[in-house]
Amino acid sequence: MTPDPVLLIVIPLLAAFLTPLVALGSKKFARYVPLIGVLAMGVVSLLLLKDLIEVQPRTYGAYNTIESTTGGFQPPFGISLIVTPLGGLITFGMIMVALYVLVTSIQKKEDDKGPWFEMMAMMATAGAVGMVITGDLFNMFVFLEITSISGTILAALPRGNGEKGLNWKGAAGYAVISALASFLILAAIALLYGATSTLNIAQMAERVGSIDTFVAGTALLLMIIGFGIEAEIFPLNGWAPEVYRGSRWGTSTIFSGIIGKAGLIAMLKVVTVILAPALEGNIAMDILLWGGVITFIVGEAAAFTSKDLYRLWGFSSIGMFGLILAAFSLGGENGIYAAVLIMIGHLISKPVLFSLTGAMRHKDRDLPLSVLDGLMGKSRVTAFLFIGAALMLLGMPPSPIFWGKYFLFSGAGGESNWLLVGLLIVGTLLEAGYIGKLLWRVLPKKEEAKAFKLPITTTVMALIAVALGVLLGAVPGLLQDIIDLVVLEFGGAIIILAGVI
Amino acid sequence: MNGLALVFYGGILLLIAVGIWGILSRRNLIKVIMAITIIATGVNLLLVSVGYISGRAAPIVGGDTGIDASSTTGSVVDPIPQALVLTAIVIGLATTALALVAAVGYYRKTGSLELKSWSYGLTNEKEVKK
Repeated sequence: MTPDPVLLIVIPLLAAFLTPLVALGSKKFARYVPLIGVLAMGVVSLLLLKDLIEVQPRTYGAYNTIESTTGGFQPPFGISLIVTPLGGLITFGMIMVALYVLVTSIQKKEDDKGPWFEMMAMMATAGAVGMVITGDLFNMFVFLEITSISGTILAALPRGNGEKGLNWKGAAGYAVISALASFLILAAIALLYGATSTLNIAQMAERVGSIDTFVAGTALLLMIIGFGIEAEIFPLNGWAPEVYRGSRWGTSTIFSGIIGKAGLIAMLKVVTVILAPALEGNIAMDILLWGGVITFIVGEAAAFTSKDLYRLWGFSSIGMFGLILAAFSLGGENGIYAAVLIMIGHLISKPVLFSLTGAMRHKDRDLPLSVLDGLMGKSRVTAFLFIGAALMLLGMPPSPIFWGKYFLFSGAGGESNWLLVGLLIVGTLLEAGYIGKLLWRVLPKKEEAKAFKLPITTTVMALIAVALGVLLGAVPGLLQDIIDLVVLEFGGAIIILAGVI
Repeated sequence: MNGLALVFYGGILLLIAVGIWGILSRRNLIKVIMAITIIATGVNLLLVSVGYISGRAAPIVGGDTGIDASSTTGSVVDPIPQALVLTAIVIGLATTALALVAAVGYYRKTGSLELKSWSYGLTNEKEVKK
């Protein structure tokens, strides 16, 4: 049985709005409402993914999609939701990140003011999933707003380790910049609607041939700037370090694993399906490719010089966003394989690193790298999990990122794009540099070190995540079916999507 | 391009340009938020003007306008952008309110509305050392 994709939006919204109502009765129980919601979402998304892989291509073209129409209006009228292979995979990944964050923060006793974090995490997940699976451009704008409003509130929530007051510094920056991003995207939507008289992405893809180059170029620029802000692409990510530095680890994980990923996928969807075909040559994909590569280098370089652990992981996330964008834009079978594998590796390793970092209490607001000194002596489990996740992020085999980088280098080398290969090596060396620097601090045992105990939920979830990463890295063939579908999706995006109507 | 379209598109460009100039040249949070609402107005005007067709009636079926539901095609302007712009205005109100709340919080925390540490990269490292 195939569940209706609209459940992926209904369930988190219902859970988010039920949470404060349940909190009126029992604050303790209210924390479990979002958790139940995210588990239900996980089941729905898994069934959809299974259906995408197992059922042979149905009505249209070479790959599966699962569609849902709202309100009984058939496309192109009404809002349709389309779960494509990439959308289905990323949706599942984002839900798993939300599950990780919610399970790990369930034990928090410090912030008993209410389950606001859990509620806003569900709202952000609803918006992010909506952005990925919607088939309507204006609907995408609405989901973007849901995501950025909940992102602002998430960024404002205090860390929880006795810190007073809200983190308005990061929140104010994000509120302003994300409002700007949404209006730029809205302007692009207005231009595209004016040129094609439709908001349905599939129908728009059919009509892009007739768009004026100036209009398409302007829309492309506005879309890249708008979604680039959400996806933390350089130089549009000035807001991100302050958010990563000042907020709790759960917020950082949601920005890195859910909000940023949704912005990235939405940007890819709009650019590859609508705008790239409207412009001559490869200009749109070239902009994304080099933008991605520069983001990768700048992000990793900033992480290398960073002296605060939260900011370091934030910059490292920015770098990974750039790498994923570059791999997607490189295209071809190698590029898509690389992008999906790197994305999966990042979705698995980053929550672990953020949660372990968050568990290391520190009296100051900032978390200098020295908190890692002698971690091996303080808590062996934490140290092993930390090392495992950090090496997975770097791409030490067995890790999905290792295979991702392997495919990326083959793809770039295959096209004899030696400048790209060189820049990717520079970025990877910078990454190896800061991860080596961190491991250098973790490894030595110190006698006087005070023992440190990792909360049980964090231990279990991090163990599962690291084990999953090692499994997928050792047997990457497990992912082959779905990645092949993604390759098909990007190979014939325009023709196939046009068949939806 | 007729005169009305010129007024529309000129106005849109002007509003968006003023807003972007405001964001780039001002560091005061309230002024930046004002600049964003000016951009929003420009974008909303763009949305409305996209659906405007010269010489047609407002897309209100029945009532005093006397438009029959069965023969609206060709007699009214495109109603979709008008629906979109209503949604966009409501969303814009919410984001502006939230941004202003954040500005108040920012002022209470830092005692200033200037966005000083907004630049990219290494400027905050000094604070970390301290």
